[in-house]
Amino acid sequence: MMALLVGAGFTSSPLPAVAYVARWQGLVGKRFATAIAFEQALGAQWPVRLVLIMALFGLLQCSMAIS
Amino acid sequence: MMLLAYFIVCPWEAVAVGKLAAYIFPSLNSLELYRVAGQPVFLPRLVLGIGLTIFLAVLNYRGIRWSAQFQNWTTGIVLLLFVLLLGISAVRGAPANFHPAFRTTPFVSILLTLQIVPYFMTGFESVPKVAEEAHRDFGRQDFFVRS
Repeated sequence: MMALLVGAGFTSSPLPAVAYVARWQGLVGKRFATAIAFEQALGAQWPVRLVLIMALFGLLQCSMAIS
Repeated sequence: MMLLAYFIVCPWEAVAVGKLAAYIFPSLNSLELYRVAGQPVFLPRLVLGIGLTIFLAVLNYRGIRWSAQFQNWTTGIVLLLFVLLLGISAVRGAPANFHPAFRTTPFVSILLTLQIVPYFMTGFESVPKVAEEAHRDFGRQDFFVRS
């Protein structure tokens, strides 16, 4: 049950989180919209790196899961 | 069928890790070796991809304990960063950013969203399976009894 709740939260919460942190009209059609949203909100580059590092770990996790 | 799927996914992962790492460390885009369909192949990215493939092969060869530990660490780091980003959003965001709620008419917008939702859910079906298999009372024979 815990795994289902965490999984559901992990899948569903990024969309409202990104829409909450930056105006979505400015993100439409852009690459790495999530990273740009946090960059705009904080006015700094480090959130972009943070999102990319998270994606990298997500990729490693995914690689291990399928292999 | 699974073998065919992995023939595609494993090379994709090897290429993707180099591409993603190059966004974080642009210096990886150096020492061009050759081109495939007009796209340059860089030595550091190639080494990284091959290295990851070998690392995962060794990890799988060593057994489930090492694989599970690696999976736990990477999942933990992803969840930690995820919570951090949620916190930033909660602190620096504003409800006004949600508006307008729909790009076109509400009905069309909902339909457009629904068409992409199943792709986001890919892999989610693994959660109950893995949760069940991780249960303390789940025995080796249960793989065959319950499937």
